[in-house]
Amino acid sequence: MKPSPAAEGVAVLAVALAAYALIFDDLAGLLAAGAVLFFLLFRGAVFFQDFSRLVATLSVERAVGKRIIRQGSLLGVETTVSYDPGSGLSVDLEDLIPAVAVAGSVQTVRRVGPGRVVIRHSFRIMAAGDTSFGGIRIAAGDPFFSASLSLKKPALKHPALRVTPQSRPLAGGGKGSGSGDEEGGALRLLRGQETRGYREYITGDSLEMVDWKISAKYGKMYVREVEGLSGGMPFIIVDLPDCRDTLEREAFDRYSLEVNSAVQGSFTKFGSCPLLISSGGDVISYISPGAGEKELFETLAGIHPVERFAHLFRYLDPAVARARIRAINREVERSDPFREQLSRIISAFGGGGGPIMFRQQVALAMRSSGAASVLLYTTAMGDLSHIVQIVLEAQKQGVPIAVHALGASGVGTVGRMLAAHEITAVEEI
Amino acid sequence: MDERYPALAVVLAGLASALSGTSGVAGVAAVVVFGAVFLLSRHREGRWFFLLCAGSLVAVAAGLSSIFWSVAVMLLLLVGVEDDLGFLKSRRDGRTYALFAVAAVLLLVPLAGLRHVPLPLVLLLAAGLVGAGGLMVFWYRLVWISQKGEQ
Repeated sequence: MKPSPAAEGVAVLAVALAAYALIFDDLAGLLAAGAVLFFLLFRGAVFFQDFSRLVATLSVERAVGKRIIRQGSLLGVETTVSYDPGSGLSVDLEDLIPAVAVAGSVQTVRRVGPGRVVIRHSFRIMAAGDTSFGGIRIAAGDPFFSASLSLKKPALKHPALRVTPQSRPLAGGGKGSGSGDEEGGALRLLRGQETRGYREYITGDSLEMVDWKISAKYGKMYVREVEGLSGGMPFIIVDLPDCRDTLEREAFDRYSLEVNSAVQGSFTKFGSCPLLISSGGDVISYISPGAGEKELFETLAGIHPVERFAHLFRYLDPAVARARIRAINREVERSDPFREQLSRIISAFGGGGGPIMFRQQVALAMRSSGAASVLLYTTAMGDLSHIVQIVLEAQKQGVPIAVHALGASGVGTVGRMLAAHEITAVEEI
Repeated sequence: MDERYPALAVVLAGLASALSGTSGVAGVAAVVVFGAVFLLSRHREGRWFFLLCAGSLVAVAAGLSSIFWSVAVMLLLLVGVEDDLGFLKSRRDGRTYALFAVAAVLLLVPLAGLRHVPLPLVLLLAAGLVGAGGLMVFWYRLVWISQKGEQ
């Protein structure tokens, strides 16, 4: 509940009258100030009462095309909101999409009568499982006060939606062609990945992911969950592209879906998922391991191309500088004035000074996450110097890192960039 | 309601206080200022605020005669504000404002018994804080109830 400029103006008048009364010891001025003050409180109380009545009378009907949908697919929805129009407040409404969804279109609001509003929009649900709408956000105001509130009562969140997982085909594996431990296929889903956990089968899971031995043992169907790297909980780093990059919507959706799947998998298995979202040399947000599912997926739902403010392409890392100097010294045997001069220049620009702020932030987040490995997701667009910094930091801390890049060209670009840092495998999204 | 009626009532109350008490020239001057503001602000947006400020001058001047005139002028001014901002659309709104007026008189008039400003000012601030605090408590209760679906 916030006062509007009109209320602030009235409050200033009350203060001025009170100041006059105090200076001139004039009781009339004080009573005038008191009347204005009580009037503000009165308007606040009336606004609150009207707003409460509005909230109490609000009802929602949602028409969705399907209630069982595939993870990542677009779902259109038409929400009809009814409320008591007698309050006289100006009302704005927003349909809150599920916490694990990303908006697919802008919400169009149409008033079909007094106290009746139809909202049309679409979204993609990025995580599998049962979910429901987030409720309704209502914003109302009168000339003196305004307020907005997210209403999350169960009656405003229906209908429930069931999201079936996006199936990931296994090339040549999981057909039952193998035997023993090789049942899942000799070819892993991703190179360097192993099956570290199992979960119950959800309608829509690919049958290729079913672990038949475990399923037969327990009498229920279980599917394998792959992990980016062997070991414990991974630390997921998501590199967002610059909004000036020409990234297609479909490609970014694919990227977003992959990131969501990885986070969901980690959260399902370990109960938490440390997550760092960055763009270039900017750390946008960090979700610590103790964060809840809601916070995690709300953060993920908000990922989109952002404007990059910090670029690291001019930054020469001391370790990289030393490696270059060593390489120069190795390659050129005889004494060479140019070699010495080049070494001096590189030393001058990259040999000294502490690590940059971005590197320090990544280092701190990586250390505090307690993760056993790092999964780095990047669209591989624009300057990638920050990717090198992340990889160097992971190597410095002795944490294995797996890099996932969007598209074949992204894999090539990142692969070339990281070849000098002993990262040979970059997975394609 | 025609916006001229509350303004006319303020002018009449101001003149009556000036003629009935000691405010005299000061009261008449304040009424003249109020009338000038009323005429000059005819087509301006947010006119209610100009009238409230000028009317407060009338209320302060009327207080030289009797502080009851001050309260009366302020309540008439605030009727004008309510009307100008569209808060007096129904009979229910009118009754609500009447209730506020009675409550304001009951709260403010006892302060008139005190001779100096500091103590009534403290009491007024305390009453304002209690009112605002109560409103905040109710607001956060509503927020909490609305978020219960989160569990």
